[in-house]
Amino acid sequence: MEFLRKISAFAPTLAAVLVTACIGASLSGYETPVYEVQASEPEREERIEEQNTEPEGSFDLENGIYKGTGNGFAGKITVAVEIKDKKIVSIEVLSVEGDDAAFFNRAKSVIDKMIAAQSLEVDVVSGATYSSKGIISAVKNALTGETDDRAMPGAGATAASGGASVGTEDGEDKPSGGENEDPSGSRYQNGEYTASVLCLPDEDEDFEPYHLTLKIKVEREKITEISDIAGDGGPSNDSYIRRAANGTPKIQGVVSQILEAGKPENIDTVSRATCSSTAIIAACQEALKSAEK
Amino acid sequence: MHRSRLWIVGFVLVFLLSGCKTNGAAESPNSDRSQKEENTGNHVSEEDSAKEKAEREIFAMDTYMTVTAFGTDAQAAVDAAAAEIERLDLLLSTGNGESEVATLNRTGAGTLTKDTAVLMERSMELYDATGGMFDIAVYPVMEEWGFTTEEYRVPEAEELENLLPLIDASKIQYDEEKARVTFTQPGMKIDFGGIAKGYTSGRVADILREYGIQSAMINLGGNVQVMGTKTDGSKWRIAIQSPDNEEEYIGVLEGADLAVITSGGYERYFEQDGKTYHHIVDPRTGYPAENGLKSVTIVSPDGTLADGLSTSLFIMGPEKAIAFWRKHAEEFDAVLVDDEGHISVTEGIADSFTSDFEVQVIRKEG
Repeated sequence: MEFLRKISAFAPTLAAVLVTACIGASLSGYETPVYEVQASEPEREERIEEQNTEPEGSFDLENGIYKGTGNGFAGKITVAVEIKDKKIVSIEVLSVEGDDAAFFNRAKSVIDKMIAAQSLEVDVVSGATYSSKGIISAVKNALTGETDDRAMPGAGATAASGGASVGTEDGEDKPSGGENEDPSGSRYQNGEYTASVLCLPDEDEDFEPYHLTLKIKVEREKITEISDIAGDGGPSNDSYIRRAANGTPKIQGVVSQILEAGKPENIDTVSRATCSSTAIIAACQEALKSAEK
Repeated sequence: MHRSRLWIVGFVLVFLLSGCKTNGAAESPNSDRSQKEENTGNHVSEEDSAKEKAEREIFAMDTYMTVTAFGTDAQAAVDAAAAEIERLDLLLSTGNGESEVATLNRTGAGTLTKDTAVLMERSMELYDATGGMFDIAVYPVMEEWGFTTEEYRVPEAEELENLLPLIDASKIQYDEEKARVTFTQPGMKIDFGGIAKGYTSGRVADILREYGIQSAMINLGGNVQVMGTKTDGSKWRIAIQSPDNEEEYIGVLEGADLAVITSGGYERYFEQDGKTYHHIVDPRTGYPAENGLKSVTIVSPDGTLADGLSTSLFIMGPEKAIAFWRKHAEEFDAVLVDDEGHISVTEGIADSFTSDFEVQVIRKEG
């Protein structure tokens, strides 16, 4: 439970950052190393056929990470969905066409709720809606291998063609989510915060995805300490994590960069440890979210 | 008018993700006992079999749903529940051109099948009871605002004015005996979105019951219905989301055998020129209802009623909503959040609702 909650704290914004560096060409082939993987993942097409012939059957998916795209507000949205024991344990927004901050905020809240629909204190939340065009369909598509197609027969077609006959072309407006900016200017609460993010390999790197956890200390709006950086993917990743965190004699590590800047922004990654670097930056950003007032 | 109004065909396919029997996964952190019992693993003794857990995640009606059941046949029960959700989605979706509702909207007349006939009857009852605040005929206005496609726009006052004559469910002729519907005005369109999820959760509960399930939780995109108690005999703890902050609760309700359904402007909205327009449209004006409430939660054993009244009372505003509750206090309870953020709760659930905030109790004898 503890573990799931950590993962659920994922912010898509960070995920997007993480992904730019880390996403490989095909995510669907990976297995989650964190858990026991029963078998190598069967071809997705096979599963779709099963689904077609047995529509109300149980839609079982092997542990692994699945990628899918759906139509969001402004354009396509792509997500990676991690499945473990037939449950979604994490969803990351990989990219959003014409992305805007408001959309990411909205997406984050939908995703958080999908993963951790219940907190420790309650069984369920009434009124927590999960409706968000794009996110829901991208997740669905990730798990089925389907794609959204606006021209699909019937997709909103009746709504567009029937009855009321007023053109909607020029009046369109993009929705935006609610943002809560603290007007006082002070955003973060002093204290120590922990976060965990998923580290995915990029095209040049060959390792199995793992979770990276770390702790930050926040004092007067700045990160003043980063500690307990650890991966759960086994010792083979440790040298990369160390390289990313501490750098080399020639390259500055991300930890000291972040501490110098006081915040995990505009940080250079360490070459040959880019994924770990990105994961550390993302984890700091995530931890900083918990510090928000 | 309601968040479930937009059922794009893309969601018509119901995806049944998880059909897992959780052995050992602690899903119920409140209950160490049930956790321990789940840990007994695959070889479930007869005594423990009632605690067998099955859960499925379903994407339908444009939202994310989970059905969780405990009992010997829990897996078969949630599978049947998922199939039922899929069936109803196909039947009721306005976005799927082939659905019964979409066909009716296209042709303006038709004979209803069993589920849609029940929904029509309940809709008419609700229309009468709420003085027209619950109105399935509001759909053309929802289209005008783009709430049906998420391609939002603020319509011209004149456009809405022209549509208002269509927004009146009393102009739907319905012959209950023959289940025959006729729209008396051309251009009328209906949507059961305001009660569809409540009806669906009720149907799911019925199906689970047929499988002998006594303990279950149904969450259809924030529309919650619980069956029985938790497996350790304790009541379910149902949080109610804050309309102001998605990560906060206004309080927690403890209960068994209840639907708890919340409607608020925060669920679906868009902004234009600095103004927020939400999706709960007042059928009298064609504009989003701004009558003094930010969210309304209805608590009732009847999911359909709870769903329908949550939007209706939101549109009524606090005074009329309270008056309405006083007349119907036997059928439901409510939690209201007004525009100033004040929380009030009706007498019937005052003792089972806990909150960190100040809560005013609404009594039958005002």
